[in-house]
Amino acid sequence: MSSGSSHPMSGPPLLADLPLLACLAVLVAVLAGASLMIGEVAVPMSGLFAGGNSTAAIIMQEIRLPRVLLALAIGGTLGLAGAALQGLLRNPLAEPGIIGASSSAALGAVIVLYFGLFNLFPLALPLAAIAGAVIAIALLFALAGRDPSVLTLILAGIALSSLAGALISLAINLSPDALSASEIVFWLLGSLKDRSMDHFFLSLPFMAAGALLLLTTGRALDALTLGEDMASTLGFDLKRVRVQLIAGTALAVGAGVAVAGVVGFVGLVVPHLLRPFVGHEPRRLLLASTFGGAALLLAADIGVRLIPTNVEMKLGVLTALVGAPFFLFLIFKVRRSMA
Amino acid sequence: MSVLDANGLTVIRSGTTILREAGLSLADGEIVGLIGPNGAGKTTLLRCLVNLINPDRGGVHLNGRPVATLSRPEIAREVAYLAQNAGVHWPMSVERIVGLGRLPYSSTFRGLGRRDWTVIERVLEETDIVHLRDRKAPTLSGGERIRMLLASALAVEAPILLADEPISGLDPGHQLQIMQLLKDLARRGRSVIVVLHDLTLALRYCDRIVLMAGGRIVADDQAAGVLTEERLARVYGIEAQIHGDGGNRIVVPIGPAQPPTRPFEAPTGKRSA
Repeated sequence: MSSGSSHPMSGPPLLADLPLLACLAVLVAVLAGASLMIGEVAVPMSGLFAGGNSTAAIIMQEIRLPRVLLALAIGGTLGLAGAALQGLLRNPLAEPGIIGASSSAALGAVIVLYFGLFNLFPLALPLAAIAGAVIAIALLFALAGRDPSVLTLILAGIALSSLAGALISLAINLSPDALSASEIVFWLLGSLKDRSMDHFFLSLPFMAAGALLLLTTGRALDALTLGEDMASTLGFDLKRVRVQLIAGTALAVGAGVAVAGVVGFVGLVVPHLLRPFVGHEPRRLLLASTFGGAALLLAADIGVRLIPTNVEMKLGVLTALVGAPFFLFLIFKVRRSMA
Repeated sequence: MSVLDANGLTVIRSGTTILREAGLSLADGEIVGLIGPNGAGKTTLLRCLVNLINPDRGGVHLNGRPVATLSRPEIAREVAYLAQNAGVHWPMSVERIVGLGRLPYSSTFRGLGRRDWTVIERVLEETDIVHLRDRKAPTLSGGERIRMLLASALAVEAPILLADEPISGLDPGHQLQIMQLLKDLARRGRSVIVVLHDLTLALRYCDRIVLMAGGRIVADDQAAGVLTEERLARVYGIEAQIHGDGGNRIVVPIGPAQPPTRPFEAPTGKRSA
């Protein structure tokens, strides 16, 4: 039994989790290094810092580095958004996709692909995806009313996902030729292949803003452990918390989907795996899940290149292949503990 | 001096009047027992007092300021609230749950400090859950859980405490201990409103008793003045005897009121009192 005088968890929450965060950071660094080294040709790591137009410099700086940076940023924000949403909804089955942000962002991007707007200006795709996520959130609040309950939010999210899914299917259905149809389908599958530093720099501000909004909800998420009434009387304006959290998710996930397509289940798997290491505390889970999400997506992106298939497996396919059975396992587990 | 004032609170939900012209004032250093049959509007009244519900008519003043104009952090530092049937959604340890009561004093980048732990230690002792501190909250029994949640509310150290049925489900020993704790808080200058169903404990520990029925305040007076055999028959529909005097009075329910009286009628007739 611990004594009153020495509490390992007292002081800043950051310090309490330093060992865990350090382990995760090392894992992320190792995976990032490995990701840089993997590819069809062997390139020395020095290519990362080489100047000029040497092959090594081009491969490292323009092909592999963006891929690693995007995996870090997208994985991190997906893990963070999952942890934050699970805290808000007080449900370990919540996922960024659940509020309809992912599919609406995908719809925005598909509209651009369908009408060939990206030929007009290359940034159309990411901007449309972010717009899709923002519109979804606005609709969500219109549907759920000014004081949305958790259940209404989830149901509204399902409705929005279904609508976006139907419109995406319509776009594929009406595609003039097989090529543009397959272009849409392949983009939807999710991938970090052939992305440039432009993609990274365009999406970074949105992801950073989203992450900031999400990270600062930590105290309110802790309070929500005791339910909405207790959280309110502990000093939190829950309407503001909901707006902040859903806006943050829309920005982070919308920007991620815009660049990489739909990559699911990272936000579901990571918080669940890390929760026992932070005493099941929602606030401490946020930063840990950011690191964990980055590590998981880096690992998955290494996986799609190492798994010997004729064509490279899509990132979203791999995360879904691993994530969906995990989701089922979680449902069984939650069901048993709630029975 | 009055710290909390409610005037003419009326709450109507889906055509049902849950609270009708209810008024209440709470003074410094006072412990008030809020009693009444199920569905009398006790919880709704408490929720109005902490601005969880906007009344359709009437208003609440906290230290002379309208509570509706105060921010949630401002209210949180003045009023601690223990919700009835509050749940715990994650398997956090008991001491961390109790620590949530310190959230009104924390910030995004600061966790629990030395001062916070001093308070947590004290309330763990006061609610007799020191031995449970490392247990996961969902593994507690019903009575242990209520004591943990009360400890969280106490950890806020607010001048006003509103506790909705904090002793329901506790064993007799812990009931007495918690009521004594609340009374001691009041003696040290805090103001307490406690929702109770145990009439004897209400008589014994409360300075004042507010009796509610059908959304109205039926009586609000010194404890002994409120609880009369005639009134218990009218409000609760029971025949009860009140024995003893001074601090040793006990209320003994004998059976349904004879001749049968209709329990206090709800104003709209839609809710059964």
